[in-house]
Amino acid sequence: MLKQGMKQSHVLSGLAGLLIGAFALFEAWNYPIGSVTRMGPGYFPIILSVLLMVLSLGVLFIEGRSVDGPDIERPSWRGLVWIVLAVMAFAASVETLGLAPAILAAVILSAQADDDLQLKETLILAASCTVICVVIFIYILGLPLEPIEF
Amino acid sequence: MSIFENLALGFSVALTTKSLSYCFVGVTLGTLVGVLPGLGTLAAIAMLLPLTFQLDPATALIMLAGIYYGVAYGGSTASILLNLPGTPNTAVTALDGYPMTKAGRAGVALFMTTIASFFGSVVGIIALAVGAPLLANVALNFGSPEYFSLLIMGLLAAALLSSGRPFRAVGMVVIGLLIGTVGMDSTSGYARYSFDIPELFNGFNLVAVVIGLFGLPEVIHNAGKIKSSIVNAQDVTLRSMIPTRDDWRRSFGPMVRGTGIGGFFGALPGTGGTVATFVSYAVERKINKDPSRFGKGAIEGIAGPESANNAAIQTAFIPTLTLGIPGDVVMALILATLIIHGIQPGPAMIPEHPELFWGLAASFLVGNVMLLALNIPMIGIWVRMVTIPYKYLFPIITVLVCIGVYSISNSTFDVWMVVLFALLGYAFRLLKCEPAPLLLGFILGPMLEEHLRRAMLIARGDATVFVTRPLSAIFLGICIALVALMLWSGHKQRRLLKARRLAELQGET
Repeated sequence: MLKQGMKQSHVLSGLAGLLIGAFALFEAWNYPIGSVTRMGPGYFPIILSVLLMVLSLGVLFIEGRSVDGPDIERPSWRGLVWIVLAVMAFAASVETLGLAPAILAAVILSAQADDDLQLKETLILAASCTVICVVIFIYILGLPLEPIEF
Repeated sequence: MSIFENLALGFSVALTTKSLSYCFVGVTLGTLVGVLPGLGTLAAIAMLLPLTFQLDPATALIMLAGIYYGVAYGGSTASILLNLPGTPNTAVTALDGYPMTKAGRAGVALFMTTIASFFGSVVGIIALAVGAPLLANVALNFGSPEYFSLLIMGLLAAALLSSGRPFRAVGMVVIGLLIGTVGMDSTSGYARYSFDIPELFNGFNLVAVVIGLFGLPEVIHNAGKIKSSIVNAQDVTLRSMIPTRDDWRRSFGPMVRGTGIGGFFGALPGTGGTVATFVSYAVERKINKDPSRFGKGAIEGIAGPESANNAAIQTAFIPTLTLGIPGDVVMALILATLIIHGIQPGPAMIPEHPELFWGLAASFLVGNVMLLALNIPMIGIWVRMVTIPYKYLFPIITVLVCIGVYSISNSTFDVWMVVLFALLGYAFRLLKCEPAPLLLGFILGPMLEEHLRRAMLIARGDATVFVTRPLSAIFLGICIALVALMLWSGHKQRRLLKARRLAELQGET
């Protein structure tokens, strides 16, 4: 069990590194490379991408051999989904609907990550957070946003 | 100018009403961030960075630095009372601080960490005031080859000393360097890795990257997991804070040794307070007559690391301000702030902006005195803060992150970038890839490329310039030593593991 988890994390990190390196190299290939004395925009990224791929091989084949390797942490899906949704909702609504709806949405969505928060608590938290943030950021600090867009 | 004139100049900057109030705001926010788990120094500084854009550089830096060392004071409070370190630098403090709380000695532990922090800070500030101008004088002779080698050394040290997984850590540095190349290339004006997205022509926004990689994954990880706390606010009274004569006697030696250890590690580029606290703890346990007391509430185990941490925080400003090479990620953020304000940190900074350097050093002293007041007579407030349930905090943190990032350039693009980097940061966390070396690479990358280009241009493409210039050769020599050390300890570890596995196999049969 444990051994499998350890292998997974090494294999995944190594492969991810290889992929990022290959992508970076593929893209940088089109940039003017220049010469050693006059390095073009492609020179440094190409060195880096090759280096990254070499290091990823090291992760796969050398670091993977040590037994005390790390286990993959069990992801906290609930936290991940709701917090990310909250930030996305904010980004999507702050300029189209206004700051107040964006804050309300972000608080209510992120609050779903915790079982202990009851609906009433969440609503009170969302309302007070909205009022305080609107006053501080729009009326005191002058953030160029409307509380509510019509 | 004599040191007294310099100090007078420094205090004339640090004691203005404006500096004093921003310093106070900084250390108070820092203590607050340290006390409340789940935000972290980096995310806090990153969020407040946009607010400092319209301030003058000295005031901006005084406030941001105040947050940094304020967090160190507040972080130990959460470590001691809850066994929940607010920052990695105060993780060691929990080892003996929390047992002291369970034994009813929370007050003494809190008092002693504050005194030890103050002691370490003051000695660290003196080292900064004496050491930085000296180092700057040496560094005035640095050319591009020296800077390139020094940057490589700093990045390598940060990666190798902070984690036991060398390939992964150096790989993260390289990913950071690659992310740093995104945007317009400074020499040719060529847009790299931008994919015709105009917002990317200036590269990724630093604040969005920091909050995405460090701030949000912390919230994602903790949401719904940190449940309510156990202490009640009445536990810590002023009277319970008074240490016994024995406590004082036991703490003095560790404080002096811890300060020395912290001052040393802080000044090295690439290492910082976290390493210093672990070394200090190990030293105290080793030289103590009765090592078995450690982990059960030994006051030596909190006094040493706390002084080490705070001394390191102060001396970490030496390489940052004089060489432009940060020791840890928070210093990298401070460095980025200077660059945003149009000040190039480096050996010329102290002679060119003496009011900035000496004002900052003087403000550290002022800020630490403020922290002494905030953390001893007013400790009751912070203890109450610790008891605020996390379930009310994390939705507020999420909203503040969104607004803070939006306010950088009033665009939702940066908020979307936070989403991207948060997903990336959380994946790194799951795969046990430390994001700190990545951030250092991201911030130092453009500088590294610039010095590589310049060194090669001047040496007409002759790469031996890095080993024929003596200082550059020394830095690269240290790099090789670091790598050798890493390979050797990795080899030893593997052999040990193999032996253990063999022993287990024999035990089974």
